[in-house]
Amino acid sequence: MTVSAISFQQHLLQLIPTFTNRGILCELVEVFEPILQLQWQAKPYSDEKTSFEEDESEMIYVLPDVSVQAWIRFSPSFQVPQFFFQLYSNGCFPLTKLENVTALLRPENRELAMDALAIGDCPASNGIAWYVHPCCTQTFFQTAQVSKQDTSYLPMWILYIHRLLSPITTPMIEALDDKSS
Amino acid sequence: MNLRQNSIPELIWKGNLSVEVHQKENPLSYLANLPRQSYFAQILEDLKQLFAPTVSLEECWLSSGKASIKWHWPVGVLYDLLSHEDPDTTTSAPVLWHLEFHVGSFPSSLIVPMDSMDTFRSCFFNALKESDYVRNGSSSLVIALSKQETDSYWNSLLNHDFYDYRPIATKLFVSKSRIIPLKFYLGEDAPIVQTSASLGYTLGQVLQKHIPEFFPSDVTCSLLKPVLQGIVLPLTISTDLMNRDFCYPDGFLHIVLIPVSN
Repeated sequence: MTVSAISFQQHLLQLIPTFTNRGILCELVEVFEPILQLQWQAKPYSDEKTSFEEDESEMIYVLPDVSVQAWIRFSPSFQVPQFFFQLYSNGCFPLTKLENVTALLRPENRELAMDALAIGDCPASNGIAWYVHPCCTQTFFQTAQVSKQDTSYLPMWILYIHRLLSPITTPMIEALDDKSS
Repeated sequence: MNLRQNSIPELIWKGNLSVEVHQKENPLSYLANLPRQSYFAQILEDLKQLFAPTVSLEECWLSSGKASIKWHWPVGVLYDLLSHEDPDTTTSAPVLWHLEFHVGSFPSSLIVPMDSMDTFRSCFFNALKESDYVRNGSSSLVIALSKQETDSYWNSLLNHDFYDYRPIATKLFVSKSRIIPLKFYLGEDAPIVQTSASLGYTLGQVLQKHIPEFFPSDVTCSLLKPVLQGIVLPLTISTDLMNRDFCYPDGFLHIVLIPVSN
């Protein structure tokens, strides 16, 4: 019996209903390569809380939700999945300073994220985007021993991305958790 | 011109563009001959000092017509892409590329703000490591460069010094690997088509494989034609020759695809 190989495009297509069910906007675009384009709202980690006491009730200030635009593609250079993203904290302008991006992440991940993140050309447009450096991804796959033919190939990799970018990527993990339960 | 005295890589290295930068409602102009193998990041501080000395560098940016200038792309690539010149039909009249300097309203979805030369250096070496990875399956050649070699390579870019640049470039780009990294540019609003190719093939075969919609034939250009280092390349050129002589300092072959003139 011949088992047909799963292409990267098929891996991406498998993610679409999982993410869509959780309210993540998904579109597979073909720009000379298959790229999954995603959009969602995320709650950033908040270091600052201002509390006011008024009539024994507390008012707590929290950071507004962040709009996340993301792209998943197969890196032609590094031959691993690659995660690109842009964060919009005020709806209009993307965050372009690394310290502003890492400030939204869990404190225990920030140092790792500072080393793993870079900014460059977005694969699906003429713009720019942050990305998780594929060199780090190579190391992950060697350790995790996940084959490209496993149906868990991209979900496992998304878990790795989440370890760096939590809580921004929480909606993706929640979607994958829904699917597995 | 004595070709025996100047190798092709040296001729490529010496290629430059005359640039005029102005700012709206400012009588001053910045004029320079910029090497095709350099980056606008290298002159951004000078432009800021001329036009807006009191603002921060990261608020400054350049445009060519309606297109924002990406300072992390080589000058030659930007010119081939944005000038809409066809090297096959260009006259012998001198070219002057007009750019505009801006402060504020930074197009943050299109350009990385440059707060210092460290940002540029980081971008450049990331690209160099990536091209090394494509060639060799790891960035080991770049990582194995000594501090002196790394600094020499960086300074050769800043000082436009061919004799410091070429030995290290040859070490990095002309290795035992048979794979080369390519970036194709289909227009200023299009994403980059990034891929790799094996040595021993022609450019036409590579284009037909990766962009068949625009290259149905591997010997004849019908819709688009490839421009590399300001030169329209024949589709019969070998990937070996392109890799040996035409790489940019980041190790990539940046090929702009322009419409075939009727």
